[in-house]
Amino acid sequence: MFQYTVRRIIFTVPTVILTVSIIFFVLRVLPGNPAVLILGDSASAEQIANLQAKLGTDLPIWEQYIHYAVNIIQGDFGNSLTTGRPVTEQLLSLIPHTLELALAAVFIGALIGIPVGIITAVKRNTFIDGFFRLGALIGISMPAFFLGLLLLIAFSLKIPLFPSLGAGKGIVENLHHLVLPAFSLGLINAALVMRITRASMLEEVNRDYVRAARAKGLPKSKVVGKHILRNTLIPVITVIGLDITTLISGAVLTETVFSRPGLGSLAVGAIKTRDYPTLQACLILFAILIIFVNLLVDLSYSVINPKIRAK
Amino acid sequence: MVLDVKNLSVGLGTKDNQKLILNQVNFSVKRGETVAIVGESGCGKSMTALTVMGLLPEPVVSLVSGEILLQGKNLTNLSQKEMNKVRGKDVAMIFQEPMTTLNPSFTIGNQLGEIFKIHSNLNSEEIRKKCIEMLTKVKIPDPEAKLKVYPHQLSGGMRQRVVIAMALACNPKVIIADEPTTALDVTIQAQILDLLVELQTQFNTTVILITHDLGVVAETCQRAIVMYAGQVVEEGSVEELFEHPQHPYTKGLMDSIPRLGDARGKLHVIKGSVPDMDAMPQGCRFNPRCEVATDICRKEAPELEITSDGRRVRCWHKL
Repeated sequence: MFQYTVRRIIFTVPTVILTVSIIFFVLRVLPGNPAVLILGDSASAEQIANLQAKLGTDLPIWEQYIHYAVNIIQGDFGNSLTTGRPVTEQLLSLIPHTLELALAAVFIGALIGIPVGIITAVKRNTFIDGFFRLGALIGISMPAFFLGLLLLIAFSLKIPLFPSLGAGKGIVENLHHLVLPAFSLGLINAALVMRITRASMLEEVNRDYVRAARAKGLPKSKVVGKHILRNTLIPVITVIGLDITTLISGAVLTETVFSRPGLGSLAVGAIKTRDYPTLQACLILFAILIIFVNLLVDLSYSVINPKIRAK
Repeated sequence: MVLDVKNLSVGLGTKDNQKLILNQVNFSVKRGETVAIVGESGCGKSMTALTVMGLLPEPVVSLVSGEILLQGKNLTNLSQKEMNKVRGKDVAMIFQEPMTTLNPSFTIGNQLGEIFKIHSNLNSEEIRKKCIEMLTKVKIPDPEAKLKVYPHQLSGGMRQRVVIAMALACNPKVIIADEPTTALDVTIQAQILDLLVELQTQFNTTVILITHDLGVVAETCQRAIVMYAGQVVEEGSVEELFEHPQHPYTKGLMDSIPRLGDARGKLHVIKGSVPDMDAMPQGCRFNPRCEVATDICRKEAPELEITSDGRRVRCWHKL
């Protein structure tokens, strides 16, 4: 297990290097000179040259790349072109907000999705099953920001239970602000998790080991809760893991809808103002986050599925 | 009698459109005996086993009538909850596919120990000792280490030994072995059968062996029940059945065993195939395939009769 973990961590290094490099080159091949974009059309050639020197965009691309790589290793993503503050500082102050939102959405998704998935599989083709399946169908068909808007109208405007914008200060207020955005992302996530859990469970119930477990005299609850569940969870965890990547893009929109501070709104702002260093840093962070999540998914597999551990 | 199965009928489908896949099955088994249930695929062997275990895939298949008496206690009257106390403890089952019978996600120790956990009051250390003892009994080398092993780390033969250990764990009165060696290769088959016979004598357990392999029947069983299209057609001691089969179907089965020596001739086959449930022939169910069938066979269904030597045969023209 330890060996496997170490090996998987080592494997992520080339992935990270490759991703970071791709982000660098993609942003460099984008048309338009950042200096011109920042200064505007009316800037003189001298001003542009000065700014290029300051930004380092006048250097040959390989030299820029080395600078970029060295800086990143040192945790330096440059300064924001709009605020002038170090990007790293901005990121660090915003990461907790996005992470909090994404984690809350994952929890809500799993906490609602897995049990409901199990119930609908056990009560297959009954009213309960149909009811939740319809709900899930609506859930996966609806974008998170739309559900966000509906929740805002319902629980912030009509019944003012929750605040409509910002993230709040202090733990209590913070959690209070988190409820609506977390549910708008989490409920949609729950729909997906429920469908996968149900499908996976229905596939497992007909396996031989289930009948064998019944033949041992295990009560049905134990057969479902232990034997079937463990095997059901393997695909479910993949989906939850893969879904975190969707959640990040979902977070961008949800943060915008609820005017929450976070990486999403930071990235959207950076695109609008052509703030390359900030955008670059956001992209790298998203990429690393996704690689990290994939690593976690892989590791959790090996805990659940002994066959993977052995390989 | 340890197990007495009386007039067991099992139907497929809903009440208004039910087809009987087991029709008035009767048999009984004595303590310590090894009885074979033989027949072609689809004759109802496995369904009989699942019915005794109370594991019919309801509501698709359900019990229509009949009694299953385990030492006088009627299992068909028990609720699922009560049946859970019987399964694994009084009646255990060995399944056909050792590759898929064990749950891939739990260790051998966990899956074996689970039986003691539900059927006894032993603490975890005692359960561990019991597990090692059982694995030793089924001759698994290094049993202590094997407790921590997952099913995929064992060979098919080893897994089947684990499955047998599970079946024997609570020293059940009856073990139903549903084609326990079909999925294994020949050398392993022999080992597993020997083990089964050895343990059966040691534990004095009753074994119902479901198989279509007559070689296995000859080697391990004292008595055999021949089933055809959901009915018992003949029953008797293995010796008698092999020497003088009285039902044409049994004779057909015996003749179908390839023998060394007459390798040059064609293999004997019973013409045709098991009738479809929707199109059960009138009269004797075997009549379209029977070589000695006459008019009465096509009109009236024969009863299962006890012959003078204590055998049971369902035929108008006993051989």
